[in-house]
Amino acid sequence: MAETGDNMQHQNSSKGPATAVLRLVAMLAAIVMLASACGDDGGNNADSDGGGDEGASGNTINVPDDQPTIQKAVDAAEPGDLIMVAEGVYKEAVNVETDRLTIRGADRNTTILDGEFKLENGIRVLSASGVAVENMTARNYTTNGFFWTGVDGYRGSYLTAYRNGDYGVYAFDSVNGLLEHSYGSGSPDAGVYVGQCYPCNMVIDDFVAENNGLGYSGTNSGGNLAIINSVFRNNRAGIVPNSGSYELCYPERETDIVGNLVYSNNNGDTPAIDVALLAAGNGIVVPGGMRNTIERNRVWDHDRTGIGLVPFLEEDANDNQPPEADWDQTCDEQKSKPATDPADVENPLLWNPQQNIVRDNLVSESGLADLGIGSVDTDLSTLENCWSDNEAATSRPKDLQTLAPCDGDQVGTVAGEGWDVDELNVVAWLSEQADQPASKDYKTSPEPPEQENMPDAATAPAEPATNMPPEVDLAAVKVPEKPAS
Amino acid sequence: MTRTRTGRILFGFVVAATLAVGLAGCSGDDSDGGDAEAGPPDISGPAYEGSVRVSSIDNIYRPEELKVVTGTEVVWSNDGQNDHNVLPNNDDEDWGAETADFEPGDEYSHTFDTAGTYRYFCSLHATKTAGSMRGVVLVLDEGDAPDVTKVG
Repeated sequence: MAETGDNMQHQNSSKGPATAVLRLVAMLAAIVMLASACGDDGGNNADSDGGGDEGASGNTINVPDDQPTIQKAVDAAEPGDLIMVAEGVYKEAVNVETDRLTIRGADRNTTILDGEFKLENGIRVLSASGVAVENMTARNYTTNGFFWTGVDGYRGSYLTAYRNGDYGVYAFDSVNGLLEHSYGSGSPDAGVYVGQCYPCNMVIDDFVAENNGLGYSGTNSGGNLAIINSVFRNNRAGIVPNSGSYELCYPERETDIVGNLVYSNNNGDTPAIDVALLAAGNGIVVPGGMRNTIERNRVWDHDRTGIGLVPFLEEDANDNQPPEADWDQTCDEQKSKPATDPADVENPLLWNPQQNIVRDNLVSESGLADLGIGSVDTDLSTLENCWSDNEAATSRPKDLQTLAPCDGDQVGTVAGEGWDVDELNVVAWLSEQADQPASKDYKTSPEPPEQENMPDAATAPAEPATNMPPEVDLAAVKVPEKPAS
Repeated sequence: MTRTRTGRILFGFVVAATLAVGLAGCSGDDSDGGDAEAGPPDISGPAYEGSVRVSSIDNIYRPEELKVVTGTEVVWSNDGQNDHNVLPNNDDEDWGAETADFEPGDEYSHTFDTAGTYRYFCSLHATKTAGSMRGVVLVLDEGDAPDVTKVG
């Protein structure tokens, strides 16, 4: 196959006046989006031009028929184009800076980007709005499989990411997104990660994360962020929303974790960063997160806690915690503030979990406690977390659901005493970190089983991520059934 | 390399001075952010001399823009939890820190002896022209910097 060259024209069977009009419309739409996007990451829906495949150009670039590599196709594309990638192994790292592209593999399991443990990121979308990536695999990258950074509007569907050196699927400083029907395994940090956004306005739906250091990690993310209908199993720890000043937009807050299967996250045979060693053996664990809602999850088989609210003691913090009055500030508002003089930063910095709601979960087979909360030199009754209607056999402290029941969406009347009975000793976890099985080399992580393909990948029209996220009726999300095996 | 706190007290001061510059523009506009051929950045406030710190957290340099006079040492510290690097946009320049030498807790320093515009980026989290983790050091001859603040 011959390389087309810099002056190539898009190869498309539908070229003609109609296409030209569509291109003009797409260009005008792009200009409008650019003009309105500056300085505002909170309202992508206002920037978008409708639902479905709106924003698409109608043009398709085929790889390798029209362009020999995915990167060349991306570079040749215009906003709204569909890039169809045939089956094959593509040893490249793709950077995307064009709005509203849809990049789709012909077959999720055999359209493979391979970093050969030399390249850094599989597909990386930088500051381009509305880019959707679908139906392909990224493996063997030194950092991330699929990565969106600084974008407004994104979608990842039917993606498989495995054996990558940092995260599998990664959204950072990005808003208005959807990650769905996807899979991440064999990463020392997280199989799927959402960081530094508030409000994130994003949904993780039907994601499977296994054999990672952490199944899900979300540092300083939240605000209309829902993790639903997903599976987190056989990681060191399952779902880990967390706060820290090593990223901006702290603290982590307002993540809805609903209707997930979370089990057997005690796997010592995975790659793992230090935090994963510290958090090991927990199903859903919230180090220093605020105002999260954890409900109707099925959680079982964990060495420590099924659902644990714990502190994060940050060494060498870069800033102090914002006061509660500032938790409603958007990420952009917080970024615009001057940094704190390091001499005034409290070190180490204790991030306590506060105002979290834990209810209606089914939790069992936990080594320390099905439900737990612990901290350091803190009166736990002051943290305003609550637990209600969970089916759980054990808790630390004892009778947690009586000590601090929820009252609707609020914390109910919190008992002033009784918090010292059967305390959860999280301080011991620090010393036990060294006893955890050492991190495995991510390069040796196993290949995943074949994953479900996107329906109609060959014929479905381009669908840029212009109206993300979809509306989710959280109340309709049910406790998932336990798998047969 | 060992992470130290020396000089970090200067960090907040420098950030505060430079943030105002960043706010004047659009943070999402990459049109003039990392192009090695672009002209010198317009950075208000004093130029610094001595030793100035740039904190690399996940995934941004703080401050992103820095104005110094010749002979100033710039110290980059990886204060995040992820790997980063510091790579000059101009491949011909002989400075910068590769990923293996700039893991969390590491520091890298370089003294700029020649006036010019030095743009750089973290290849893991940005490109030369896009992404959040890009920075620039504007180095002026002392005679071209009417307002100089000594730090470090």
